[in-house]
Amino acid sequence: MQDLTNYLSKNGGEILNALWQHIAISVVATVITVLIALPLAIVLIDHRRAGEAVLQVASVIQTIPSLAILGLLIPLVGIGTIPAIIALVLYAIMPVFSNAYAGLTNIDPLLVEAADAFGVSRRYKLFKIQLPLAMPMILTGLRIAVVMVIGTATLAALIGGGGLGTYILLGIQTNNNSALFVGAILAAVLALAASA
Amino acid sequence: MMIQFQQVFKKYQEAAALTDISLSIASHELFVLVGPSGSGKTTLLKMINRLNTPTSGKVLIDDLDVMAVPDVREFRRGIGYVLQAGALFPNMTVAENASIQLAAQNVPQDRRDARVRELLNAVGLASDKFMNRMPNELSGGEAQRVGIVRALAAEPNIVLMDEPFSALDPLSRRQLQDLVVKLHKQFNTTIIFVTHDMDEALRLADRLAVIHDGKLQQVGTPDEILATPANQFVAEFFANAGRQSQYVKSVLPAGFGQPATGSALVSLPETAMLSDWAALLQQSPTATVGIGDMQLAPADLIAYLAQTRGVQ
Repeated sequence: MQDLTNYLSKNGGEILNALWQHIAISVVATVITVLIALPLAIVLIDHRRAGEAVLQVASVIQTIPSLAILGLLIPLVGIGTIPAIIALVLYAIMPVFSNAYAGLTNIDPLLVEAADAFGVSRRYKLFKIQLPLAMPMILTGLRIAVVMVIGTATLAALIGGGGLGTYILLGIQTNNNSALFVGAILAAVLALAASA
Repeated sequence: MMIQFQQVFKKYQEAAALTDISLSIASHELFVLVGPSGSGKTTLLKMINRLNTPTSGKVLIDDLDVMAVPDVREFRRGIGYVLQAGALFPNMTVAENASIQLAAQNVPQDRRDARVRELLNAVGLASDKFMNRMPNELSGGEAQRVGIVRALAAEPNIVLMDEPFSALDPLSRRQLQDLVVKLHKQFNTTIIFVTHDMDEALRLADRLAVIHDGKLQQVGTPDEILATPANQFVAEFFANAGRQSQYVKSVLPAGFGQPATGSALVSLPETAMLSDWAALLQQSPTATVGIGDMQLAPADLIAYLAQTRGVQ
């Protein structure tokens, strides 16, 4: 415990930096994921077969171990923050897309028929009817993705992506439990806070 | 707004859903499409606002082919629609739900509110109390009243109703049927009402069309259909309506009447009721009435009524 507080007071500024970096990587990855997955789900509402195909592809990507994705990306985009974010996005698309798609395509068909029968515009139907009705599912997917991204982002340190994983890695490599705890506990707290 | 179906066929894969339907619905009529589940009546209804399209044949509204309308959204904004169990959008208030077509037409907010208030009051929902309620705070009957307000809000010339009351309890259903009749008189819209409930059909209809297995069985007023069913199916479908025995025509199969001799007959239409006959006899107690090619004496009425005692 003494060691831990010493370590914290000595490295406080850098730890905070790593925390911010971790949050930044996670937020950027999540935003990009949503920007890809949500429009994709919306476009595919009326193309069920293509929607199923995307679902299959996304779930295949998700079954690839995250470490393997990072490894595969190094020859393509090198090391650093960018491959880390790409890997996180690939990983998080599945929960966001599958939940949003399920939410959008499982709206009571009677309500969809009503919207069509009243001749509302496409925009009105999407923003006032479909998205609000699918929102609980969309948010569920987002939450799963955020928690997953925060957890997986610790691996970014392996390819020089920074973040809290740096401390976990450092702790393991130098047998420094204080560093290990700082990284691990902060990452865990962050994930818990995000899912709350 | 006259609506015409001309030789409409609908096929799903190879199965025929509708076969050669030709039908015309007059302006301001309350027209009921009735038949058992799966008969094709809802398919037919949805062809009017193009939620469904014929495989062949035409649907005309005032001589305009609905498949030829330039903007289908615009076209649908002018047609009211009441769905099963209300189908209100759960994320919108009563007022937002009811004014959805007005919103689609870009009517200003204050005029939307005024119109919805007026109609809510007309269907028996105090507007101050209901405007800002959410659909999950409404009973089934209240929700369907809002559904009716939503259909009428944009002052449509045509209102389509697809089994709107099938999920309601008998009392609410009765009240809403009365409401539909009242609103039909008040607003003078053409209403096409789909139901599988023959009592509902008979209560509401100016005229009705009986549909079975995708084929039109008979079109006529309730009296015409009850008194002179076109075929076995129609007769059986309405067998429990309890009104058949009230028609003069049903006296004949009960074993009364003689072939008409042509002397001093007062002809009655095929849809004449026993009460019409009785009223006639009150005027001229000895009149012999002719119906079809048969004639009936005053004594036949008394004998028939005596015989039906206990049967009803």
